[in-house]
Amino acid sequence: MSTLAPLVLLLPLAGFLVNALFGRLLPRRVVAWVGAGSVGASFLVVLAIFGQVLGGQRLDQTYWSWWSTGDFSVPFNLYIDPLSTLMMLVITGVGFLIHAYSIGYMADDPGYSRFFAEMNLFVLSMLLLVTSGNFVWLIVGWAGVGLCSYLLIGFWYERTSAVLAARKAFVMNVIGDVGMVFGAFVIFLNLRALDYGTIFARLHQLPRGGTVITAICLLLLVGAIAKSAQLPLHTWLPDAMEGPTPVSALIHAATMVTAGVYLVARMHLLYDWAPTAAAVVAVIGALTAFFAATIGTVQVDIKRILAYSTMSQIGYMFLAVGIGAYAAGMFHFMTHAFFKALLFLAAGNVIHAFRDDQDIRHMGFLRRGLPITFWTFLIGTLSISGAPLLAGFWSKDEIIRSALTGTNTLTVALGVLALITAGLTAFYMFRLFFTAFGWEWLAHDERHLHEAARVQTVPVMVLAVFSVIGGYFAVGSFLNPVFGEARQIGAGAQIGIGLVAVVTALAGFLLAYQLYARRPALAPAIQARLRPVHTLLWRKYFIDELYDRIFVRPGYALGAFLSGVFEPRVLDGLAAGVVSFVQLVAGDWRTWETGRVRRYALWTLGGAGVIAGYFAWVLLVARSAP
Amino acid sequence: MIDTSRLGIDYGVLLPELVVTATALLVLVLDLLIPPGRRRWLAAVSALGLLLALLATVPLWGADRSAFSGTVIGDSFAAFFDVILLSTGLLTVLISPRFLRSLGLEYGEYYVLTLAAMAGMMLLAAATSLMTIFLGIELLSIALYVLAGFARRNLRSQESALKYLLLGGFASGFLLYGMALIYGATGATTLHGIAQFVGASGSSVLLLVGIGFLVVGLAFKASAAPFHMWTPDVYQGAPTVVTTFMSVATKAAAFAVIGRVFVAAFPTIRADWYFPLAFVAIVSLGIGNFVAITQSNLKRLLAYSGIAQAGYILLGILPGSSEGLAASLFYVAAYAVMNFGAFAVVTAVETRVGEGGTEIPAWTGLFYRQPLLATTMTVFMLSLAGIPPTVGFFAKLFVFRPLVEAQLWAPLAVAIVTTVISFYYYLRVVVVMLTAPEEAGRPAREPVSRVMGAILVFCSIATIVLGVFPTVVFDWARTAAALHL
Amino acid sequence: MLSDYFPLLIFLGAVVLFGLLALFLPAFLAGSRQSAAKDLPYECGIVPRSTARRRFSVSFYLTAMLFIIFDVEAIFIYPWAVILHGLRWFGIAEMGIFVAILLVALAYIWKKGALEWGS
Repeated sequence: MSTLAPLVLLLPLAGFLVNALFGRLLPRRVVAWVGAGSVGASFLVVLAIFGQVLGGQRLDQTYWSWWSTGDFSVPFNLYIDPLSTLMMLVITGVGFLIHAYSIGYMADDPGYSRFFAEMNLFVLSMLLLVTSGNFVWLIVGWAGVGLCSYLLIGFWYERTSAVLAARKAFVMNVIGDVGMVFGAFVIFLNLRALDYGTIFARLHQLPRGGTVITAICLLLLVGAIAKSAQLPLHTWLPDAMEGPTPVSALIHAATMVTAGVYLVARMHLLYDWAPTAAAVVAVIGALTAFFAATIGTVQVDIKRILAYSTMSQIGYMFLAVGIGAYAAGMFHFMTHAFFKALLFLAAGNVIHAFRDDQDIRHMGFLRRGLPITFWTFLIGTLSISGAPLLAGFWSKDEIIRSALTGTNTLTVALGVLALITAGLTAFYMFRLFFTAFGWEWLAHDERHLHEAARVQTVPVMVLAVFSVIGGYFAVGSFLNPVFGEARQIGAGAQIGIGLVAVVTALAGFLLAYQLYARRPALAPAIQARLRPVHTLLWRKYFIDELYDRIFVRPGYALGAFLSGVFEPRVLDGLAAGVVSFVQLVAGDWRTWETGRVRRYALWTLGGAGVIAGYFAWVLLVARSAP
Repeated sequence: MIDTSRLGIDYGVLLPELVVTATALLVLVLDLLIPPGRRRWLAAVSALGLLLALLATVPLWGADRSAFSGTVIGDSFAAFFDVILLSTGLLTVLISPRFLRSLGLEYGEYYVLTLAAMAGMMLLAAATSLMTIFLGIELLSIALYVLAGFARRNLRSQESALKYLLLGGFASGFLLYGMALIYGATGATTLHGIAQFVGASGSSVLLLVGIGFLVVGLAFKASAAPFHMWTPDVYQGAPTVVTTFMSVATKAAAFAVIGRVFVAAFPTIRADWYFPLAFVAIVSLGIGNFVAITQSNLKRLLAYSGIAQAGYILLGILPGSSEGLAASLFYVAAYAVMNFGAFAVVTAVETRVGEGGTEIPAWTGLFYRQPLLATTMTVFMLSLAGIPPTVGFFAKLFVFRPLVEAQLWAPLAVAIVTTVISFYYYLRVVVVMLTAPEEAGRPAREPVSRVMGAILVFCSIATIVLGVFPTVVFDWARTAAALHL
Repeated sequence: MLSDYFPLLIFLGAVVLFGLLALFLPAFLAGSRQSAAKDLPYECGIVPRSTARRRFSVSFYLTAMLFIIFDVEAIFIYPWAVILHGLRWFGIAEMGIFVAILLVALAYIWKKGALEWGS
């Protein structure tokens, strides 16, 4: 295993290097083979590692010492256990399918090799993030993921909206990165280590629930919520739709947004040690799940709806890891990767068929035009909505169950919220399905609709299979060695809560069916009646506008103030003030050279004045004081 | 008969400086003899001389040879700076001919003055007396005043030289006055004598005022705020190769003095000099990083970035420990590589585009026209911003660490916050280069000269390799920082 | 320590005193008779033909500066000559190098035409 593990990283790295350096020179076929093949080969290696991990093997090996000074050293060590293995499986497996799909989807794009190079780098960063055994390399991967998302969201840099979206994602991610770095810094200050093994071993030196551990967990959480697009650092994710659709699939399903969940799960010993911080995680998760679902009910852009659904589903995972149901959270991460990748890739086919129109109100009659896409999308919709026996049902049900059977009122309340969200999920997903795939027909002629190429439909079908059977993988028992045995829940409660969840989802489905399939005229009427609510949701609770007012505009104003008023007036004024006394003594200083040079000299004198003032203070006040 | 051996005459200690000076004289004579069309050879002779001087630094490693009545010393510290300075000078001389020709400035004096400035800087690195320090500062300054105005027909260059001369004279006044006061307070001009006196008697009013003035004079040369005001105008106006040389080498030389004086001569009264240096560091970080955001000219942007970088280098001096000094030395080396590279790219672009080439809009879509320039520039920008795995990241990390250990939270907090702010303007350059130009159809690629290409690739590879294996240089820096007078 | 400088202070005082005396004593001892001729730039008799505030040829400054540089450097030779006997060949060699550098400078300004006047 110690030789296999680096291979997982080296393969995408090789793919990235080949495509980045020689991509322009190579024929497209080769670029595609290198891009998708490197990730596929990496997946095969991960499968081999998976077998060994099933056999009980673990790995925490140092390959190389990056640098060491004094007592402080940063090794490059890989940390392989069931948790990182699960992550690797999904990243490389789903990642490979998305890469394969991109071969067809991006076929006509001039930036073919750049696309595959950046996608490979994205996968590499994510793999580094989940296999690193210390915080330094975790942060390197973390920042790499942010960088790649910036590059890929802004892939079509000719579009102003894409560049703006990329910048927004970057800024939000940097806020998170700063939180991460500070978190790691506080850990190092208190535990004198940055590798996981030592941190976990020394964790008990800190008082349980104390300020330090809570601060650490909250700082790490800032990084996690930025990367996972949770409240209040979520606004970048819906805008990230500006990137090519496979990028959206990769960001939403296999990489990036799940990094936050992974971080909390990986640091679960820390969060167990800081119950307050864990509760914050759960609250943020449940609120985001509900909040995003409500916005999803009114949007009309197919990718935007899916983006809000991602936020909502990640919210479920945060809720799970926040209440200590780590295995349930990771289980949902896996099933979500299947059906969300499926939904995005299928949506990509739809968008291509409608020549890049993403408005669901302009779509329709897809069952005959794009039968494979139609049926696979339906499976994805059923799975995410929690239809019984499909993958999404099992994992979501487990989270809701863990919350509802929780020991304190907060957990139970969050569980109820999660249950309501499940109903909303079924509603907005079927609203999307009925509107886009249903019987409405507006602007397009049937004959122009064509199913996508084989290379695009096969990955979707594979994902559809996993969206059905994914719920039967025994993720919980696989992860037991990491998180410990899950809490046992009585069979009665299990069935009861399962039934309630199904009924809630069914209610959502029926409502969508009534409004968007049976009686389409009803929806606009209701929308008119509830105009304020609709506007609120349509404008996404005005959070973008709020941030613009609070942060962006004052930021620009501060910059303008500093360069326009502060520096010329105040600082120069200060310097001039110090100097005016000297001027008085020295007489007519103004004849001394031209205006600007004189002003520069005044600065120098002003600076000297500050230092002199300090010394005068030291000598006259500080030293004479007893 | 006078016993000359008592004078401590040891030419070996000054061998690198002597080689550089001799080369300068040789170039001066050659310039008179060869026809104007062959002036390229002067660059070759200068480069050869600098290479020889590099060789001459080898015996200084690990040595501890005080010479000329304790006014200069040959030690690892001097050798460390000599290597940085000589490498910078060497690369400068190599990229110069083509740029000078494009401006019609191919004169032999350019090389003579550059070599003279080099000699002054290297003397600073070896200086252990107030007199030799002043000598070195004046030698480098006067050569640079002329170099700044080297594009004689260009008004901006004239303005740059005049401003530099006037303000430099002003700062030299502070410096000299500070030295006089320190001499008055301690009765010694050698750092050894000063350290002995201060160690025995502590500080006094005269000494404090002297230190304050010394800080002003040295901070001016290092272009640290609030003594930085000349920097943007002079950097912008001077010919870009001169700016390249000046921004890296002058700063390195100034920090050689600051490091030696404060950590080695005044270790016992750190409480007294902490404030002036911390003040300068914090103001530099603030002003440099904030004002850089609003710049629209790349040379001005890099000037403000250089002011901020001076702040980071100063951070390592603040704890007054040899570990901190080692961090500063590492930063100087890192700064030399990445900042030289950044300015070299500006030089290359300006060689093609002409004077407007330093305005940021002219860089739009550079990535598609000159991928080599844009890629290497990206590396330098990321490194200056301190993003791993570049050397700039470790430079910052290493200077932050001693601050943590000395519990100097205020400078550390300022440094971290301003570092985050600095991402904005460094990455803006990258984004501009990546933005496709508005006119349809990508312009044909223009080749970069082979020498320039090789130097840029060398600098960017060094930036990354030192970011992956920082310990090599850091160990050298540690050896160099283990000072004794 | 500072008391070491006391003689210097006395010296300084004496200098100031002497200067003031030289300035004010004549006012008491000698008479004062104003006339237009006394306000001329050269009291010794040369009659100025035009204003002195005009531009001089830059060559004048160049020559003046070159003179000062070589003049100041020549001063080094005096103390050297005093102890040359003790320094022997070492002193000869050192001064040889010094003069050689001066010669390079001289050759440079000569060749560059800095010694030509007005051409």
